[in-house]
Amino acid sequence: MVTNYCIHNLISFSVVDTSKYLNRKVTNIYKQYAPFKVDRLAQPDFVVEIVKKLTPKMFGRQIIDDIFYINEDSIYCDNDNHKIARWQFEIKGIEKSNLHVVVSSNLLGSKYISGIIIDFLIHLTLCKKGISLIHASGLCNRNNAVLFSGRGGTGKTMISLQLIEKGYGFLGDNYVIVSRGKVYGYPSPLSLFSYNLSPILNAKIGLIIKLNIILKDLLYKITRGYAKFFTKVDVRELFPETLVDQANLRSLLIMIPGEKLHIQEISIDDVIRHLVLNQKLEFPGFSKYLAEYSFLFPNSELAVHWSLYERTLEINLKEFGINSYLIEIPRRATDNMVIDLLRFTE
Amino acid sequence: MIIKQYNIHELLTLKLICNKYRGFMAGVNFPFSYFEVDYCCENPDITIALGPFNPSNENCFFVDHKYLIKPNYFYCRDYERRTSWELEIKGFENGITEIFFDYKSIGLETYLAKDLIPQEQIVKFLVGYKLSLCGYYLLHSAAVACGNNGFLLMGRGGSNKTKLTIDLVNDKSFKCLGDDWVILDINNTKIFSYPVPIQPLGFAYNTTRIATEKSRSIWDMLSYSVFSSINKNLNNVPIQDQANLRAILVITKSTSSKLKISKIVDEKLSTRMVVNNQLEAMMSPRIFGNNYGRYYLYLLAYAFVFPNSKLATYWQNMEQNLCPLSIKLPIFNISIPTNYDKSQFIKAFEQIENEVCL
Repeated sequence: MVTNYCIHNLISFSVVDTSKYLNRKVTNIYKQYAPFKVDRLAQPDFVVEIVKKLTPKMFGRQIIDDIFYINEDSIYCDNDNHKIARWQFEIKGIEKSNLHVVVSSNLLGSKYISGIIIDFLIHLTLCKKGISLIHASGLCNRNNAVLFSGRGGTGKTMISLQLIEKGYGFLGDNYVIVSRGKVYGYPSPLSLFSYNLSPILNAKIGLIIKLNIILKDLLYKITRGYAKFFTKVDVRELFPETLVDQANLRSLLIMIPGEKLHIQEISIDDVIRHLVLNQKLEFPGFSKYLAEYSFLFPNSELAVHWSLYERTLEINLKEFGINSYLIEIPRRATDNMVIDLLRFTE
Repeated sequence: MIIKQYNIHELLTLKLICNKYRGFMAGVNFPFSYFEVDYCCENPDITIALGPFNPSNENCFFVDHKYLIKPNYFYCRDYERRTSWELEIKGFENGITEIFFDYKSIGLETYLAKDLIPQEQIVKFLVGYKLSLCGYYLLHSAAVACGNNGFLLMGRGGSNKTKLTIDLVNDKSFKCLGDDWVILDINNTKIFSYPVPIQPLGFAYNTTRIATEKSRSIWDMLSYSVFSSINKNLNNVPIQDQANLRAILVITKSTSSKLKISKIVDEKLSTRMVVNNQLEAMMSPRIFGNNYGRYYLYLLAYAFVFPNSKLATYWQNMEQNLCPLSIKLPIFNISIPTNYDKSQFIKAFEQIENEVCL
């Protein structure tokens, strides 16, 4: 089964799936990238092939940490795991062209393919094209976009929902794409967990989704934090009329939850430093694969990937008159605070 | 309650406070035991207290639903597999560092080496960080010495560092400075020993994986565990405390059938050293297979809140400071085949030794 995806004509990829029926049911790839689905593609930037069993050629490769088999331009990972989810993959053409990935995983592992591998490849391919994927939620007022960047637990989703309620347009909740001072929407589904259930959201989502979230919270509590699954909700169903394709970036807010509301203007260089660290924290799995490759090929482009990312951010954010702030936001944000924040978006 | 004092080459002092240990592997349980001293160090640089504690985590920033951070302070509750822990680190940016660690596990680790996890997962890296502040770097690398000539064998996990060290010690009567970590003095290009007791289970598990083509029966594991603990017993290995660094050997392992040596003009040696250490911080401890290490994430989380702090710029500074090394020293790459042959390696090593020392 082939599915094609294209994001704003900036990046395109195909997913070729020949895995088992159950794996196809469990994986969230199709939900995750559904808004970008297109019928056909001339030349995808990369191809992800999901197979039942992986049989790569091993000869002439360097073995590293017992599970990575690496040669120039290619990484094969024999067995990586997160809890009981397991996956193996082979990436070819990671430095040069014709990026091609073959992945196989166990049942639970298929839940992680999009987050650990595909999301990073989108980030990497965009970075090579001089475009930045940023871990932030994006809202806009007419043509003026404001980005809220922060780690998990900052209340990004809640702020997005409150601003949508106030009539703002929606660009993205988890990621947005930024190129030359312009924000492109990335309407991936909301990842909801019990702590996201605010009154506004309660009014929007259906009973089945609510039940889903409550059951997953129960599972989380029973396993004492071991099994944490998010519920994916398509934003195109929640608030279709608010989706915006692109807008000019006006303000960038780095948010860190603390004790009290404290707003401080910082330089765009400082913002970039935070954004790079945020992205690194977002991709711990692939950071490891990059480091393994860099150990063998310290002169490669991948070895300096994070400084390249920093440089593309500089190109895309500097000299566009973007206001940048560091915001200490109380852990329990109230309506008034969102109004305070709003002043910075005008 | 027992108190242990350590002095690492007069560079750093440590104090460890923990409950009396009643496990099976006392030698493995205290990885710093080589540096143990019986006198009392005044104002130790790092104090480690294992066991329940009262955290002072008010007025903190909150990152990723679990890290509580304020200047010079880090707190979190975290878990890995069957193990959960509560960690508090104070005073790492300046002055005396205090680490509090409370740890619960239903895993085998509890009975084998209960206190190893915090020391491997956290303390080792903070020791490395503290050493870096005075110009010394703790590198993930083996080192041997012949007289005053020291050689660094730098490689990732599974590249046979330990085996090579033992072979050089046995066959060429070299002295060992460490088989996993070693301290590098960049100003004087000297190396200092950092011998740690073996981790037989992790080593055995990984060796078994490779040696038996992934048939991982419990019997294989046990037999390898016994085998490797005999082979890798550092108590029987002669240890030398310091040597002048003469050459760096980058050890890699490949699926081809021949051992290859090549001289590398590698101005990016510092990158290799930094990612090698980073990967250790991403993967340790490896008692059973590859786990995600946490120190790397903790450091990133702290850096996200305070991107201009000393800790946040640690990797960057390390890379810069290690840069001159590749100009000062010859660097060789030894690519070892999967079917490792001792005589081939010794021959290759002698070739390098002659080139460097004559």
